[in-house]
Amino acid sequence: MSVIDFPKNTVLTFSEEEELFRESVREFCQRHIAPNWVEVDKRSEQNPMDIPVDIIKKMADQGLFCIPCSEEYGGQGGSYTMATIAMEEIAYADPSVALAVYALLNTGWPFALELFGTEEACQEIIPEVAAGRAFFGIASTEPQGGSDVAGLKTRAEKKGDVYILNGEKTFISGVGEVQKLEWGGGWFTLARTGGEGHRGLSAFALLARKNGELSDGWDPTIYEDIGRHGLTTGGFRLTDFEVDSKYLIGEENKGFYHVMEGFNLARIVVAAATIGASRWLLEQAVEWFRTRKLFGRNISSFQGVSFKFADMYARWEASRYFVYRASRLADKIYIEKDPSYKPLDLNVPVALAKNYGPETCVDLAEEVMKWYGAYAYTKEAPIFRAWLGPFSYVIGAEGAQNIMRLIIARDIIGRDYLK
Amino acid sequence: MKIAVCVKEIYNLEQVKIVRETREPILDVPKKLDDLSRNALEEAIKIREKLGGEIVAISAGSPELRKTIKEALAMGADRAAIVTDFTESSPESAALVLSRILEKDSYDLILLGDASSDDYSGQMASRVAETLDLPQITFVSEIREVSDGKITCVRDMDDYIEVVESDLPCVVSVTNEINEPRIPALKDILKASKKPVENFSLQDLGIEISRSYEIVENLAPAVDRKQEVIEGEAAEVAGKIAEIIGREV
Repeated sequence: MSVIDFPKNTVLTFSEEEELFRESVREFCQRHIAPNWVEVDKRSEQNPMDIPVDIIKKMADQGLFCIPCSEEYGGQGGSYTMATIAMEEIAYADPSVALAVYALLNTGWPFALELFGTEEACQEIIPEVAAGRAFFGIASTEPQGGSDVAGLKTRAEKKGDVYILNGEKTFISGVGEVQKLEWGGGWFTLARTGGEGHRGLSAFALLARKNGELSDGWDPTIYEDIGRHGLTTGGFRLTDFEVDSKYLIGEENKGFYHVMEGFNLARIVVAAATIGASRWLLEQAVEWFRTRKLFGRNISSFQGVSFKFADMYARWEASRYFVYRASRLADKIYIEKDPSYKPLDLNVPVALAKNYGPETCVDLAEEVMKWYGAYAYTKEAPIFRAWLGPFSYVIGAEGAQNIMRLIIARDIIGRDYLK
Repeated sequence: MKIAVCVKEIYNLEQVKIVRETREPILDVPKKLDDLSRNALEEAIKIREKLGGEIVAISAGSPELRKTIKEALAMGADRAAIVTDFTESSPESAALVLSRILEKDSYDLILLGDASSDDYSGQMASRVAETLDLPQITFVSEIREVSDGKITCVRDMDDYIEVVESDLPCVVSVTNEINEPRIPALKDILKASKKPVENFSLQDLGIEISRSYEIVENLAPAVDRKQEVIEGEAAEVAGKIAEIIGREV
């Protein structure tokens, strides 16, 4: 039973198919994810390579990866809004957001590959990702920083039909998964094929492992994260790593633009995951308010508590509008291919969603922990897991928060006035 | 093998709230396919996977059924035949409507849930079988075999089980132990909207609904909690709790 009676909504509405899909994802998650998410987080905290392969397989069987990808590539043939709905529900069931992030990376980036990649690469990679046998995410961050994408240093030299890549990528999701899953996988990555700046970058599908065999010249490290343990983070060094030219994504030296479109797509579903985790947090708060008494009163009878809750609830509703506004726009551009909308139209709506969703979630988690008091500071109460996981998106995964602010300010005030 | 599965739309009971003062239910909630209907449909899908054939979802309900029936189509029914101006919920009128729809085609097997989660009268299988003059097997927890015009089922009678064989066509009602219904994936949901739905009115079926009984009151049960407070040292309190549990359970 839903803890909160959410107000009726005539603005943020969903089609019958979308409602039915939400119900089906919710039922799947309540059956397979909600009862297991704490255990997954605990186990993977002890051993990051203890990857929940069984749950990943079940999610694949349920069609929760590659949601907007074409059926001819083994995708689900759904809309981006369908993907957004799925991520919200998965994160509601696993508010550490590990499984939602697994699903969203393996939805947003295969879809970006389908938009810009070669037919051969799509035929090879997307069906494996959709079936849960391979991971396909994003690898752009390097040791010198993640926000300065145009300044990245990994080089790709073309020799005949292959590119030879040398460099290093850090803070990359899925470094463990590509080693553990049956087929393997890799990332949508960027390397420098031309001169300095963003016009010298090309995008590639870099497969660290395929058909169960590791590629030469790929040297990985797994990091110990503070949260979201069910998904590995790591880095890797590339030493004379060969990439066949069929894995070049889009045109040479246009990779920056392709990856930015990919980031826009991925950020929508990242924000969706945080509103799902926030919904779980709101329910934890309301359940607590209905049982916890202090000084002989319900603790929510103190306005210091209830007014703060009202503020957080308002931020959650606003985040939800931002997220679905962006997903509907993505559908116009990439699914319906409506010529009235262009990829750049997504910049501000996506930045609003990515900025507001994660910050709301983390602030809410902090408040819920304070409302719970000392109990929330024990590992017995799982709330801290819904704080540390989404915090990765406030730190900067899939785009730093101040980069989101920069995008909003740049596009609303005008690029020339920010110089 | 042509299988009809009678399914029922019910209020989403998880969302039904009760007015504390009056104990009246607030039924302003979405409807969904009943859980036992999904068990029946799952069993039909399993039979079709083995033997091939067609599954038709049959239902009678409110205009909202046009939406709810998509759940059955997404799960795997090939098509549906429904009545959407049926707002009565009496078992006898529901059985009559379902039987009239079933008579419009011929089926090898008619499956349905043993009861529905809302009023749980458990009469539908027997009433439909009687109206159509077909054999019936109720409380089925396993369908062991379907072949050569016969069906073999295991009936769960709580204290013992029965293995029953019947000629087809036959009406079979299933319990929730029989299977775990599949959850439709996105691809199935997208396909569901394209599947044919035949929509009849009560007038089309020549049925005039009459009530044989009246619902006088529909209230949640009153629960009086004892709210006993036990005070004292831990060991003493534990002893008292054990004593109360022994007395009450």
